[in-house]
Amino acid sequence: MATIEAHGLAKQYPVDSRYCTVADVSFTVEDGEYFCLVGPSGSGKTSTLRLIAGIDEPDDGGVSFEGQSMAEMPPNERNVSFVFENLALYPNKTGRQNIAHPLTIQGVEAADRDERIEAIADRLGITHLLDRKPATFSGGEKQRVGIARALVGESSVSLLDEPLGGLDAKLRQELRMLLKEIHQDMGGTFIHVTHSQEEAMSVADRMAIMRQGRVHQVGTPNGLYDRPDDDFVASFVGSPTINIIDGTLENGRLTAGPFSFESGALGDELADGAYRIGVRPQDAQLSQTADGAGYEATIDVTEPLGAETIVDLSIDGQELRVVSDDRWVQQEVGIGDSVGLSIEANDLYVIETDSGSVVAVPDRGE
Amino acid sequence: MTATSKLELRDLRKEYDELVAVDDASIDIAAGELIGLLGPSGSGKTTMLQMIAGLTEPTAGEIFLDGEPITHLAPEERDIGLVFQNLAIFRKMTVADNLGYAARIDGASKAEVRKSVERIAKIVGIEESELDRSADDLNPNQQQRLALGRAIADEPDLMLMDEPMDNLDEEQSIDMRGEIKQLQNELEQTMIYVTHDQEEAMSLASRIIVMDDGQIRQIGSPSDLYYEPANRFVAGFIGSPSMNFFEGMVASDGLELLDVTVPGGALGGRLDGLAEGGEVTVGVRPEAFHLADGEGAVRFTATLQEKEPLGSKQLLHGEANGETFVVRTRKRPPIERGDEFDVTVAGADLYLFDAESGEVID
Repeated sequence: MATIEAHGLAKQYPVDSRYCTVADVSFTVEDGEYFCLVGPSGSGKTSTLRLIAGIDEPDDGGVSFEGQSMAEMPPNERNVSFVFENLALYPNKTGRQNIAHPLTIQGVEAADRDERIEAIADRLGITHLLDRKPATFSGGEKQRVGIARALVGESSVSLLDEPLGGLDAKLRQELRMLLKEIHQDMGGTFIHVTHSQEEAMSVADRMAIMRQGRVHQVGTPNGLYDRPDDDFVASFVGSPTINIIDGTLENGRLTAGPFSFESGALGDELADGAYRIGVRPQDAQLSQTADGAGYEATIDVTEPLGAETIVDLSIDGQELRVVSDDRWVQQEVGIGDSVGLSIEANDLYVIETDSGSVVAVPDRGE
Repeated sequence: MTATSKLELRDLRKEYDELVAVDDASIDIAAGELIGLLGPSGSGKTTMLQMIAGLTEPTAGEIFLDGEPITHLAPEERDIGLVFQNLAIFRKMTVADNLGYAARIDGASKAEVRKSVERIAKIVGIEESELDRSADDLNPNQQQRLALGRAIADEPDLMLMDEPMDNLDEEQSIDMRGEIKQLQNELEQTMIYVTHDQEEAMSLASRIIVMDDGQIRQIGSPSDLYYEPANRFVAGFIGSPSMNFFEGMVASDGLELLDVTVPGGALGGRLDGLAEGGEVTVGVRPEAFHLADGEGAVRFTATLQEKEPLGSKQLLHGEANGETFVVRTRKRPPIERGDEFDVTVAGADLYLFDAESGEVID
């Protein structure tokens, strides 16, 4: 009922506008899909959402819903609901009246209206806010009332612009699962904009990685992590960021900093030349001694996070960030200590230096 | 370079009418230590900080800085530096004038002031080209560095930082916390860092004071708090995703949990002395669950409700016997919403808490 297609979208905003240029954006969102637009600030995510909603008109390209062009369709006829980052609640209305707004417009009967408001309020844990005014709400409470207002109408398309922005980590984790559950129950199409790759991965069926008004790649969360097309996607997806080291391939060996690998072990046959290697922090292994490990490393700093420890270390002056789940790393390792480090050819993402294209990725057995 | 001091709090207490904001807190902080003061909002951590800074008068108790009582000294007599989330910088002044303020007040010569400014700017990573800009023109990250630089320039005996990264976005604050950690290590500056963010406290501090409801719930290294929580509050507050909690019951032959009985032997004698039929709260870290092929004293079947594919790890939200829980795994199990999956947990990975008091049973 609502497959959404953006084809060749372009929009130039004035220099002093808070919206960023969309240079060339195409993607298809399937009916009922939870889709994310993710990228650093300035990548044109919010602008793209505005073009889909019909708030702004594209200079070039267009949007179609279910194969039908939206070019002549005003926003209020698109059956789209929108949560803005700075969601403006009506200050003189109660929580209930704010949430009721889209239902009132749709002409839903009062009894049915209350039932739906109370159901969504219960799910979002804001029942106690229904008869109070926004001035008394905390930031997180305002956000949840705004989400309730956007979702109560059960539009076939919900557009969410940083719906969890400005909330603390625990609340964000809780609400992202709630959004996912509500989407599952409602069955509509969601397009969710966020700058946080972790938030996008956690909620999305598929996501588009954007930068500078363009889409770099569209894929599933694990698919983008495993098989990025280019160095930007490889660096943007995954936390902490992948380590990238300059190297060269010649005489059958790929050498990057202190690391050296047989190029035959990298899968596809690669021509000699300049490459960079990418090593995800979770893919390198630490051991208590250098015996049997490929390399000896010195610990620069450790950040224990509980289930895992982030370790910054150096190998012959080459810095590397590693994440370890091992308890000994958290409990026994200190600054200046020496540990063993193993990186296998199969742990590598290989990037062509000139083009930035990823030409080999780890085989994760899928 | 920086003078640095040890701090002792003795039975420090603050009451507001009926409310006990801080309930007889006693802490020793070593010279040169970076200690985290962690708790949810309303836990009393800011009141504690204000008493140390002299901004709030304690109802009872004593504060000693390097052995000298400072409990009743005015804030400016304490030699304590403050970095707050609402930044203490002079917005109309240049960056250099901000950083040189302390030296100028001390009557240093122009050349000495400039030398000090350049040294501090280097420490906190402010570029030389930024020095003559107005503080107001800096971005939030640079302003935070400037506030930090101003506090360091005062060379305080003790530095207090109250949620200093709240104005920064996630990436900036991760960078900044690494820098604060290294900076503190170099300067050996005694530092108390207040935050509600457990990850921030864990990554920065050598020891953490966990507060809740005016009480100190535990003091320990990040690893102590994570692996040996003293009570259910600390167990649930430290770690992300949070520890899973289940209701358990002491049976004649072990512990009843979900629809299985964990043999007493697998729990290392922790059930000894507990009355049969008594309730206990059982805690399991998300990463302590193993999928199918794992060995463990507890094995049960769950239904997948949601899955968060985070690339390097997958969070599986499961349901079993009416209880929901989160599993964190590095594997990629090929299961979808509604599918059943088997999980196991080793007896040693179960935390037991008194169902009433929340104290750990060990």
